[in-house]
Amino acid sequence: MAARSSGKYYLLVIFFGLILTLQLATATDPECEKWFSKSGIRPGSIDCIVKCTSASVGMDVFHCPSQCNDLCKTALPRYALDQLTYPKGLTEADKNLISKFPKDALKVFESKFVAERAVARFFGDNWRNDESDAFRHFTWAALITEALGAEKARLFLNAHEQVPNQATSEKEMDQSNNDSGIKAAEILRGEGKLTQEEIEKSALKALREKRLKVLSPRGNTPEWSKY
Amino acid sequence: MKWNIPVIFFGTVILSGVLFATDNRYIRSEFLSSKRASEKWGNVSFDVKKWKAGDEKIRAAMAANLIEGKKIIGKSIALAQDELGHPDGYFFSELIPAYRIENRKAGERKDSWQVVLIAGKNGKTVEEIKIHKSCCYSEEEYGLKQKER
Repeated sequence: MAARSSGKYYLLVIFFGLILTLQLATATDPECEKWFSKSGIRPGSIDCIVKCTSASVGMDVFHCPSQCNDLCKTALPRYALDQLTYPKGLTEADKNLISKFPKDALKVFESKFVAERAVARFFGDNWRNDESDAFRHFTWAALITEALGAEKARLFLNAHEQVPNQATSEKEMDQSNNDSGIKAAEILRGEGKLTQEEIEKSALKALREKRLKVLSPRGNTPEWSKY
Repeated sequence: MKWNIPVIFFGTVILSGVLFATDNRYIRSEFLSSKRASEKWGNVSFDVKKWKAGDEKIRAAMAANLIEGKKIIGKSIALAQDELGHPDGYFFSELIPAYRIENRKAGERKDSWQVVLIAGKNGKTVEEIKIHKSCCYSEEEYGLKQKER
């Protein structure tokens, strides 16, 4: 029960954080954001600009006091984003997209939850490089396509694949299955039956017909069922 | 942007709740302490070579010691992956290396567990090692209702 509540809280706060980002984000130098963050000055405080303009600077950030006006307004969103979203699992490209399209990012995040839940329902577990991995990527991609369209789905999904140290073969597997999910969603949309149920059925069918890329097959693809 | 009291109040309440939730439980997550891991799988001294070559059972026996010994803490994620081998688990994102230590087989009614390496704020070095229950949670524990469509 506690976990259920925490999940709801989590989504609410992310939404809150994303709205903040949407309302406040403007372009400032990332180095200056770091400098400002380290200075300990509280953005939005009455004396923020005074403290910011008189804070000590090094050669690398000597230009930052000229951005104090923006920093006092905008340091919060990035700070909030880092605190409120789960930054440890996000790529830099993910974070940039969240800043740019916060409302869409919430849909992407929600779709990820739905896809992972579906994996747990059919495979029991989310693993890597096996059928559950392929199913997760296919379903997530299709759900994002349903919510945001193919173009934006590709934008978010490609950003999430910018993982340093990830093996090329794994990246190819993920991208291939993402692509299959997007295409399947487009076909289902054309047929007027783009629903979560049809997406799941389509993913399982594609797995059974070996149309999804699986690097380490476990050899089990379950039948679709509601629970 | 104009702030008002209700926004600040509710924002603070929600923020506090979520920060607490994410800090302690992450999302839909249950973790095992090293003490309980010792009781469950034993406490064999962590050995990089044995870990890398070992199966789930061997890794499970070293999991508690891996946490307590802190040998991987502070190392870069890339180096940690070199030492521990290619991750075969999944925790939230491919950015977070995860290693299976107990996997339920089809038809079995037991939980699955994995060791996860949590990066620090810089995203590059290992800050924490946790033992995460990857399966199975009840519907309620997912924290998100089935999306009605």
